Amino acid sequence: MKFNATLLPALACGLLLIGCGVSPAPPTGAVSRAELAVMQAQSSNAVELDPASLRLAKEKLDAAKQAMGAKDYLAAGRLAEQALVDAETAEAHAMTHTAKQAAEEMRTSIELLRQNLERPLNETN
Amino acid sequence: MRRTTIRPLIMVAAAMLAGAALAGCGASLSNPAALDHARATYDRIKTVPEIATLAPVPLYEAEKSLQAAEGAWQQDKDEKAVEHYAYLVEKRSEIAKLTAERKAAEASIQDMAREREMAMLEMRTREAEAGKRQALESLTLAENRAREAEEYRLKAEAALQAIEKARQQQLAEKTKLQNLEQEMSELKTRKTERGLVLTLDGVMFAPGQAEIKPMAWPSLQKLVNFLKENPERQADIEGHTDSVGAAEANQALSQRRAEAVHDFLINHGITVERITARGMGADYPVATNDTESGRKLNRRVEIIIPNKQPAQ
Repeated sequence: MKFNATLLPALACGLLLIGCGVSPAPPTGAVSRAELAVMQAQSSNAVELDPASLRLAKEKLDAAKQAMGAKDYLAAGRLAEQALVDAETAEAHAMTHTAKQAAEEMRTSIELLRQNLERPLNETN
Repeated sequence: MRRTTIRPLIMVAAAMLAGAALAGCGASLSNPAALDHARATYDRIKTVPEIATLAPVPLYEAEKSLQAAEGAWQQDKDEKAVEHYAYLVEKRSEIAKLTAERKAAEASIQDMAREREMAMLEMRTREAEAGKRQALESLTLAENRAREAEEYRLKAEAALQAIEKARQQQLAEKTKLQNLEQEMSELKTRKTERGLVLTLDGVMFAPGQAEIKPMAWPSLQKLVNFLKENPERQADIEGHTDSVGAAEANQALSQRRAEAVHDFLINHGITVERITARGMGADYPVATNDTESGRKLNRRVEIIIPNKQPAQ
């Protein structure tokens, strides 16, 4: 491909427009993804385990929706993306905590079993 | 976009335009702290092997956000964009770390579940073995008791059999004794101080004869039976006559009558050393010699079975 001289000003103008943040298309996909993630996190035990991240996610989701209403699509997109990771962080905290707790319970039950097994039989009889 | 075919003139123009664009957005030229921090965070989690293997998706998303942050800085010097992407890097790094921890915990739960299953299996095996041993013990106990009971039963049975045998023996002896007594009572016997005395009187012998009449044989056969049943008993045979005729003749006749009975017994299997025979003549009448009926009684042979001790 060869650039020819007449194309060059047009290309330069395109670069300028994007670089200076002229509003892109409405980020409806990002907002709905964020909304789904927040709902999912709210229905999990993240409510108790990571309320800070969940609150952040909700606030940013609200802000994203407001930005959508104001047609500030750049801000709306970023807020939605951040709301998504905040919600995912809250849920990851909750899930990790749950898994670790389950592992700990399992460890305790095995320890109890082992103690039973190590005890001589005539003692249990 | 930079190709060797692009002419130097165009390259210069493009560089100028890019510079103008950046200046137009008002970015500062020092590296934003958020970017440095995001990069450090990403570099730190990237080197953790568990995160790379257990949480590759969040790690990749963190990397993409870091690239976006760097691109936003290098190309546009857009600090707001950099801050936004840097935030995403921080959060996705945290999610990657948490995901790796969660996956590790879940894997350990699976391992422990297997371990617990093994432990429970061992527990059940032990319980089953203990139960089996207990059952065996009680079985052995039951067997021992059954054996003891059987031993007692056998002993009791043996005792009963011994008692029954003794009773049978007693009964047999009694029967035998009764039989003998009955047999002897069928003979004309009487008990005297010398012993049992059996008399074969004149009916058995014709006058002047020593031959035993056949009618006397059954009585003599009974005597034989008695002697065979009682091998310890002896028989003393004494012959007698009536007073008719000379004394010497009577003596000889009585001797022959005794010997006739003696011979009968020998012929029927009684050994000679158990029997004695002698003639007593007419000197021991049991009735008057004045009448024929009295003389008939005096013509006789007496067989004496001495009481247990040997005769004479």
